Amino acid sequence: MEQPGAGRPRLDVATPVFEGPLELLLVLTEREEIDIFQVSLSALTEAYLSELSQLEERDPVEMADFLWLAARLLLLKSLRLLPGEEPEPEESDLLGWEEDVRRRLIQYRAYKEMAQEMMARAEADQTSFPPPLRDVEVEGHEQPIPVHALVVAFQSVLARLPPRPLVYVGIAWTVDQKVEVVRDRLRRGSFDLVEVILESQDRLEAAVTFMAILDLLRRGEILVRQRRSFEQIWVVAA
Amino acid sequence: MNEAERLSAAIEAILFSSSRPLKVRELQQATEADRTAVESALDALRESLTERGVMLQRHQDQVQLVTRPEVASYVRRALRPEVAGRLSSAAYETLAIVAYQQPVTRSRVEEIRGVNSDGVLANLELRDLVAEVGRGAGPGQPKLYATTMRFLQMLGLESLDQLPTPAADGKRALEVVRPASSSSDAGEGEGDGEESREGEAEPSRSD
Repeated sequence: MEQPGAGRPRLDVATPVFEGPLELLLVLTEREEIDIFQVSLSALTEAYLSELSQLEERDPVEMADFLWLAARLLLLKSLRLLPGEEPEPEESDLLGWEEDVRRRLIQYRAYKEMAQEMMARAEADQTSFPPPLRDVEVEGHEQPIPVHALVVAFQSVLARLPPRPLVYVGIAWTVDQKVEVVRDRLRRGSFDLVEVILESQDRLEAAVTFMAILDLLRRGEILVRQRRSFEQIWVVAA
Repeated sequence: MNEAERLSAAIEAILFSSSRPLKVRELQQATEADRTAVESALDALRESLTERGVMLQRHQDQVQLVTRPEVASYVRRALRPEVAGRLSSAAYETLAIVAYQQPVTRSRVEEIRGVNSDGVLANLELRDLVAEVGRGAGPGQPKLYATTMRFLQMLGLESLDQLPTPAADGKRALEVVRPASSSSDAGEGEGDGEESREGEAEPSRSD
């Protein structure tokens, strides 16, 4: 049997209103307190229609999915009513599907229960608090500055530089050249990262300078330090 | 103070002054003790904190001192820590699946829930309740998700061993769920997986 919306990685009874297609089955089976495959189709339909009447917007997809499910259940029931006959391949598939649905329902219900326990616990204010984050100190135990923090800082500096002019007359810097420039600077002592980047003539040069800094950082030739958030970022020789 | 007590005290002091979770390996380096010694010192520390306001929280190879959930309301009143927004029931559902199945792929979560769980997982990741811990062995090397330290804090658990225990039939269902040949051969490394912590507090239900 070709399933509607084949290829979707799901059980093909999507009912987003209930946050999960299995949920509809679950709600309905729980309400009836019987095995879904034992439930009478009319009872299932009753329960479904009463759910539906409480909705403000009816989703045609959801309704179609329900019909599809109901059709399968009907076929299953008729298979049971005619015992002794060799099931056709299509019918064997269907029986496998029944087993699959049953297994999934049990699993899903188990997780749902666990989720509810977790929610109850979280909402009963049963939390634990970790120690507060502290300022980074230059001496002693330092926290590494994540590279993306550097990139964010760089982006904000970049915004202060003019874009490249249409007629370009400046020097086309290479990273290697800039690496040399930075090494030169370091021989005169540590410097402010932002200051050096802002010396660039245009954004391209700024980017190349930044690349050179990252490269030196990678090679372990320099350290980048910041006393606390939003303060100056210093480049020092390693 | 004998040697074992001193080690336990040293570890308590280190954890107290740290603002982030520390790895067992870091504690080994700091105390120049071997793994077995650090592990038993941690056990002793956890024991000794039983009736106290802080407890030892452990996730994989990381440990941290956190406040005990039973006194959360006092801490909240005194310090008014930031409260994270409430999670939806879909989020708890996804969290439960990740918690019991970890490390787990998105498609496995979706298989159980029956719906696309991309957004929910991204939201949980943003809140640092789940994190990517590696790649699965399957086609396309799917991301593997696991719960975090933050997850333990939200539920006030000392470790994953304290996750609510499913009722008998539910437990069977959860076991059935566990794939026989799990694709969890990623995300370990660094010998982090070999902690044997038997005899640890049996899963307790709080009610």
